Formats: sequence, structure tokens, C-alpha cells
Amino acid sequence: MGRISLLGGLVVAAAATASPLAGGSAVSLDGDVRLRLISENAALVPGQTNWLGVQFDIEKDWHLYWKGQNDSGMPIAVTATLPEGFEAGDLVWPAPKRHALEGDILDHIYETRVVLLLPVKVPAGARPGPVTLKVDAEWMVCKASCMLGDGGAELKTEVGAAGAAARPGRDAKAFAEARERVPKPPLPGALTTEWKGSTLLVTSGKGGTGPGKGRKLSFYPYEDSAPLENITRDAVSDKGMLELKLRKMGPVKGVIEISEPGSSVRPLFYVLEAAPAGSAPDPGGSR
Amino acid sequence: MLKLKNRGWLGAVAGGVALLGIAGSPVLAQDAAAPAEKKQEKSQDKKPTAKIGEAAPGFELKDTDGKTVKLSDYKGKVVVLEWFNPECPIVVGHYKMQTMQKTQDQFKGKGVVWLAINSGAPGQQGAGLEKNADARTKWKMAQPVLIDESGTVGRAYGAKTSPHMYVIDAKGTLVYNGAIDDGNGRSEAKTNYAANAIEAALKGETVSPAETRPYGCPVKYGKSGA
Repeated sequence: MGRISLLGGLVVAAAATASPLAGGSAVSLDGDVRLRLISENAALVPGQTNWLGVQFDIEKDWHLYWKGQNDSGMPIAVTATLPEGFEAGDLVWPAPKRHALEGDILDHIYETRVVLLLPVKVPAGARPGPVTLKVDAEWMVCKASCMLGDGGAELKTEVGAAGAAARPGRDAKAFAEARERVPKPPLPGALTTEWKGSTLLVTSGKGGTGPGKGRKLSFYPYEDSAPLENITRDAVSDKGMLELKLRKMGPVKGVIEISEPGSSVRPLFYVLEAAPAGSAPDPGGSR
Repeated sequence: MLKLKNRGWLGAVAGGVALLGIAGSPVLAQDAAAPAEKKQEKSQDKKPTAKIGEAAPGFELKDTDGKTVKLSDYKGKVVVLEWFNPECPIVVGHYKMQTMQKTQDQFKGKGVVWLAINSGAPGQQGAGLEKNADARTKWKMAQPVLIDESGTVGRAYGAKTSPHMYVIDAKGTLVYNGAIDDGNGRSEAKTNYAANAIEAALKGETVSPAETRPYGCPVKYGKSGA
């Protein structure tokens, strides 16, 4: 546990290193991964949570790692350096893809592009005008081989006037796209769970506007989810129902993707949290 | 990113050689290895055989010097298995930080056997006799590197990453399966799980945690049954 929270955690340092260099977002090149820091709003809104995005463009056929359960690899780690008084929250991770390798190795990865969403609370008293935000990231990138990479990116933007409404910036679309894969609390009836001994049955709801006939369910376990007996076999099903057999009893937490292969219906992503009967709920809550 | 800085840490591993002093210990009972080897065949396709609290799967592999190493040769000793890939940056990081060397030094003279195993298929990153022999020289590795190109032993243990660590107690029972530590191969870790497991195994105490999630590069297996 400690290892992952260390990697997934966010260290926020107050710093005032506004560089006098030219504006625009800096791009770091490191091997096969390009890093950008983007903002949803054209100008940061004081007194509100503004969304930044840490965008990774990944060379074709290579992949980075999600921060949930993986048999191998190493999740992306991000550190933000923000102006004094700005507060970063926890990174929001879009759902990954399953990646199976020889030797029964199952990982959860990102290919091509991923935008990790970073909420930043800008103090109400922030002075309007230019401001520089910075992130540093470390990652393992793999294809047949694996490499470690790191890099940083700066965003030169501005704090808007107090009371001004948020205006979408030129990268706002990337945020909308990333959020399509961010899991949400399930709508009523969207997911049904039932315990059968040490097996959790997860069924997707009937009807609705999402995927229907021939729906496929995938489960991507969070780091602190109880271990599955056989994730390669059990965490994906095209029968509309997952049978998640646990190796050790405990709460099951993660992302459920409901999709309809071969159709143009967009997949849905829900947060799954199911504690076995009699077990105390996690006082720490979840992400 | 991946360049090796050899200065500073090479000297510190010399003490690890003592670990291998016992490599010549006599072959003991074969019984522990035989049944496990049978199970190992069944495990080819899917489920790893190795389970905490059960007999560790036996094996017989050649090291980079061509010498045959059998697990059963070390009955009565605590045995550490380290899944290895000299080109995996996490492994490189650990050798740079001396994680493996320091862990070995910690148990110097206590009769602990340490075996590195590379289950990479031919042509994969870090696979092959030459690369592994070179790494042993370059890093002054005390332990032999056993070549498991078919991946049979790796699959029998369910080895997922390099480094993926296993500790086997003096009775031949698997007592630890997981990460070397709670770090990430880039910076110093707080807890060395493998060291704690070795310590407990030497004292005959219960290992806790007996299982952790290993991290690192995926083991570069070839096709199953190939």
C-alpha cells in the first residue's frame, strides 16, 4: 500500500519561481513520452477549484501505467509546484485499459494519450495577473522493453479578476474527453452486486441509455481492493455479469466499465464499492 | 535516464560473496523437490504453483557459468530467489542504490543462499547468457544468475516482475512472495520486505507480510509452451 500511495501521492510545494521566459506551455521531451500541463479555464478563477490537466502523449505501441492494481510496471507519479496559497487536490485518473502479457501478467495501462486531472484551489485573495504553475512527473514506459522517464511542464496562465465567470480555455475539450473515462457513482440500478461466499457478482442494470444487449463488463481494481483469485479470467465478461472470486475476503473497490463491443454506444464507467456482509466500511472512504 | 553510474557502489558488494560460500553444500534429500516439480508441469498454462506455506517448487537451472544449480541442493538453508533482468531500469536502480547488495550484506555469514533467475525469452530485454554474465561482472554480483529462457521456473513461481522476490525457509517452504521493498527502485525505501522475511525465516518465525505486490518490469516470458 505504502508504495503506491507514495507514487500516487501528490507533494505540493509552495514556490514562487515565475520565470521571466516567454509564455505558452513548455513541452518536455523524454524518450517516448511528451508532457504538457493544460488548464480547463482560460484564466484561473479565484476562490474556486480550477482543473488542470497533466497530459501525456505516448509513442505508438508504448504504454504508461494506471495507479490501481497491476502485476507489473509502475504508476505515473506527479508532483505539482504551485504559487503560494494554491492548493492541489488528489489526481483524478481516467479508467485504464487491460493489458495481458505472457506469464499470466495483467496490467492496467494508458496508450496514445492520457490526461490526469488535477484540481487546484485558487485562493479567493489571489492577485489577478500572470502566474506560472508547474508539474514534474515520473513514469515507466513499456513496449517489449521498459524504460523509466521523467519530465516537467509549466503552464503560464493568469489569475482572472475576482468574481469573473470561468471561461473555457483552448484545451477545454481535452478535459471533456478525459472525463468521459473518469468513473462516476453508479446511477440507481446501473449496477447490482451480490455476495456468494467469497465471490462478488456484479450485474449491469437492464435498460437505460447506455450499452445494452451484448454488454461487456470489465473491472479495474483499485490498489486497496481485496485481491482477486484470478484477475485475468474473472475481471472481464461479455455475459453482462462479473463473478469476482476473491483470494482474500475484503472490500472490493474499483472501476466497472460497461461497453458494447462492435457498437457505437459509448462505454460507461462507474465506481464499484462493495464490502462483504459484516465487514466494517472503510473509514477512510475512497477516492 | 538509464545510464549506469558505477562509481561508489561497487566496492560495497564484495562481502556478498560469502553468501555463495555454501553453494558447494551437499545435495540433501531429493524428496522436497520431486513432488513440486510434478506440480510445476501442470502449472504451465495458468495458475502459479507456488503458494505461501507450501513446498517451494523445485528446479534445476544452469547459471551463467554453465554450472547446474538445483534448489534441492540447499535444503536446510534459507533461500532467496530474485527475478532478474539486467536491462530493467528498476533492477538497474536497485543495483545503483545497492538495495540487493545491502540486503545480502545484512545476512552475511548466516548461511543464506541467494539465487537470481532470469526468465526472459531469447531476444527479450535483458535476456541471454551474455547480458547476464556481463551484469554479474559489472555489478560484482555475489549471487549466480540462473537462466530460465523457457520461463518454466518463472511460471511455476508466478514471477511477474523483475525484481520479484521469494524467500524459502530451511524446510523448503515458501514463506515470502512479493516486492523487495516498499520503494520504487528510484529512491530509498522505508521497509525492506525481503530482508524482514529472511530475518524471520532464519529465526523460524512467521513472516509478515508474507505477500506483497511486486513492482518493476514485467518478466519477459516467451509464449507458453514454446
